[in-house]
Amino acid sequence: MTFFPKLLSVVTPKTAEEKWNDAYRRAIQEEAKVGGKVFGPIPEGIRREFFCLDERTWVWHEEWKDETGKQHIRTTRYDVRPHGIFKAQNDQPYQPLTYQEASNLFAAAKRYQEMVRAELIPLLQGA
Amino acid sequence: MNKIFNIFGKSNIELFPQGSNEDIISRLRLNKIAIGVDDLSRALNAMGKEDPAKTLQNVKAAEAFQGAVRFIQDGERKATVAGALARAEVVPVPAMSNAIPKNAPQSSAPESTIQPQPVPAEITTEANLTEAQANVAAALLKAEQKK
Repeated sequence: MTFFPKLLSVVTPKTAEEKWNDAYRRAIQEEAKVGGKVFGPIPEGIRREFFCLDERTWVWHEEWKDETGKQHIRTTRYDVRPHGIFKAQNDQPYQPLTYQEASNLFAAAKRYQEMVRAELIPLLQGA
Repeated sequence: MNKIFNIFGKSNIELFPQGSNEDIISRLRLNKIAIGVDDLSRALNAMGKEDPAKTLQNVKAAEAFQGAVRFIQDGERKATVAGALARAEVVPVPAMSNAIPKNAPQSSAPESTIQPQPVPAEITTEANLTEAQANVAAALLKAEQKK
C-alpha cells in the first residue's frame, strides 16, 4: 500500500512550498495531540485536541460518541483580541468569555506551552 | 522526514538539522506560542478591569469584524452582507457590483447609501485591511452599533 504514494511522489514531486506546508501542518497536528493531554487523561472513546493555531487563535476540538453511537464533534475557537477574549463553537456567533473561563484558557495555554517546549527544545540546537 | 518530524510519539529522536524545514518550523511555532500566551495574559488582565457593558459592545465589534472578514474572504458577498445587515435590522443596500453598471460613465453611478466612515484604528492596524475592505468593516460595525 505504501508503494503507490511513493510512486506518485516520484511522478509529481512536491514543491518546496508544499513540503513546507505539509511539515507545518504536521507540526500542529503533533502539538494538538500533546495539547489534548493538557486537561488530564483523555477518556476512552474521546478524541481531544488543543492547540495554538496562530498568535491570537486557540482551538479546542473534541469528538465523541453518545450512548446511541451517534458521533458528536465540537470545535471551540478562541480569539484573543486586545479588547477581550471571544469564543465561537461550531460556527455559532462569537461570545465573550467569562473571566473564569478566560483564566482556565490561559492556564491551559501556559501548560501547553510548557509541554511543547519540553518536547521541542531538546531537539533544537542552540535554542 | 516523517520519521524525524514525528517527534512527540518517540522518546529519543535525532536533532533537527539546522536550517531544515523542521528546525525552522519548530522555532517558528515556539515563537508563535510564546506570543500567543503573552497576548492571552494581557487580554486576561484587561478583562479584569472591564465593565460588562463595554464587553457587550466589544462583542458587537468583534461580530462586525468577523462579518467583514467573511465578506472579504469567502466570496459570498451578497449573502454575507445581506445577513449582516439583516441582523442589524437596517435596509440592505444593493451590492456595489450590481449598483454600478460596468459601462456607465462615472457620474451616472447611483450613490451608495453606505457613506465612508472613519475606520476604527484597531480594525485597520490589526487586520491590515485595504481601504475598501476597511470601509466595509466600518459600515458593518456601524450597522451593528445601531442595532
